[in-house]
Amino acid sequence: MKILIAEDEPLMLKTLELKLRREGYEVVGSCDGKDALQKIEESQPDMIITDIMLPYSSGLEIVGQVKKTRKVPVIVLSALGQEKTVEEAFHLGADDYMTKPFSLNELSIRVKRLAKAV
Amino acid sequence: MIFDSSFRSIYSRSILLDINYGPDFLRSLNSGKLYTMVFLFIICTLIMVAITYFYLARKKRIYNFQKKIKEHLEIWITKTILEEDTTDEAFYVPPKFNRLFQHKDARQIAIDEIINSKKSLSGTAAKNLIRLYDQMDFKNDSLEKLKSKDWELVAKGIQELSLMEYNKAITKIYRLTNSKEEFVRDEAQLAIIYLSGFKGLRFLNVVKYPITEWQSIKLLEMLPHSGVTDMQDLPKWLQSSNYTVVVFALKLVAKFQQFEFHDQVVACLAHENELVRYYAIKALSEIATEDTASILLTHFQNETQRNQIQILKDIVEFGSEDITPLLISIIENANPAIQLKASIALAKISKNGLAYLAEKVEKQVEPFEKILAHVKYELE
Repeated sequence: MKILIAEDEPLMLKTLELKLRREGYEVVGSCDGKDALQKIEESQPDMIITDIMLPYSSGLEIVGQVKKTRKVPVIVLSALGQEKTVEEAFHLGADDYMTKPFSLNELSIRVKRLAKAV
Repeated sequence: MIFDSSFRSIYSRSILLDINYGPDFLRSLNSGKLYTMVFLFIICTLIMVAITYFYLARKKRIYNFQKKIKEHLEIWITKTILEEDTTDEAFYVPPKFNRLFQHKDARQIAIDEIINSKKSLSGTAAKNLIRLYDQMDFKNDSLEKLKSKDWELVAKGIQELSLMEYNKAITKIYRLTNSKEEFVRDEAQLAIIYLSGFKGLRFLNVVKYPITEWQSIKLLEMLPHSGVTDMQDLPKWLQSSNYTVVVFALKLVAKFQQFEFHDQVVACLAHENELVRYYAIKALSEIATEDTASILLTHFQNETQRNQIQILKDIVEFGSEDITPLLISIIENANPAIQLKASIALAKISKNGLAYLAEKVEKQVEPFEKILAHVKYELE
């Protein structure tokens, strides 16, 4: 299963990539929204994990664009106090969300749950 | 030729004469001096270009050095974050990092990476980051920052120590909650709450400087949402000589519904500061008893229009039929803006409120016809 992660903090991105790779997923990383949209087009991932605050195109734009054409599960990562934005993400079709700071083990449980549904 | 000479004369008058060099200055500029000036100008320009070049080259070198270190550190920190071993055994540190960490700048890069990750992670990963910070003695760098004269560094040090949950620094950070530097003070207050929860509110006993609206929002956000403790000093804060402490204490009463302090909040309705009275009104609406509505209405006449409107908005939530006469007297005597709010409150609280307003329209069309229309719209 291929997962695309869009996260602008390089260390966070590397951590998420390594965590999910160790769990047997194929991972594609991206550190900005524009690049993420391009990689989604190219690599056709089975799941997307995206931060809301990204340079060039936001996580919301990614959710909106992806959900228009494909039925890919999307997990949104948000900062504390972005409840309104999370609501908007759900409105656009996001499947799950996690508020930072979050536990990596919890994220991997949520990934597994969504992966089963795919 | 005519044009040329007239142009020259106009030019020399308007430019040279106006800036007071005069014709003497021009006559003194022989070709030797002119060459020297041009030469000096070129030398200065070259020096400027060289300085800019070396400055940019140095900046680029530092950037590349930092980038290289970051790349190496990222791999090592990522592996450490994902360590599942729960024993307290020390993390493996590659020997090259031990050498690298003799440089202060390299240590700071590592601290920044750890801090940034800690902001996003919880659970085992966050614990690993704290253990790593502790193991590498990065706390000494953060503690050193607290001694700096640069307030930005002090604030950074506070943030690092609090995020890394270094409780031993509480006393040092507590002293900074009353710093004259706003950013240091704000950061220290947030750190104290982050490290000790409600207990940290004891800084309210000593703070002499104002607590801004933004800071109070951040402090309230940081406090735990349940398990309220250590509020025994609330009466003291409600009587503080610093009015912003009183406002913050009233926000605490409202957010955590501290019913036992109802009387002390009522006392704040007589405070000389309008903002304190405003937040006292708002706090009372969160901890209202059956007497609260009539207490608020007895203070009504002495209040500013903003506070009067707030009282009328709030009593709708907890007022009863008993306050109908007080509301009617307000409607009889107030200005149209207050009459409107009082009419809405009356219609919502009293079962005969609408009938009373309809009667008023018959006696006095203006402004009661419009008020009644508004009230009906509000009730829909």
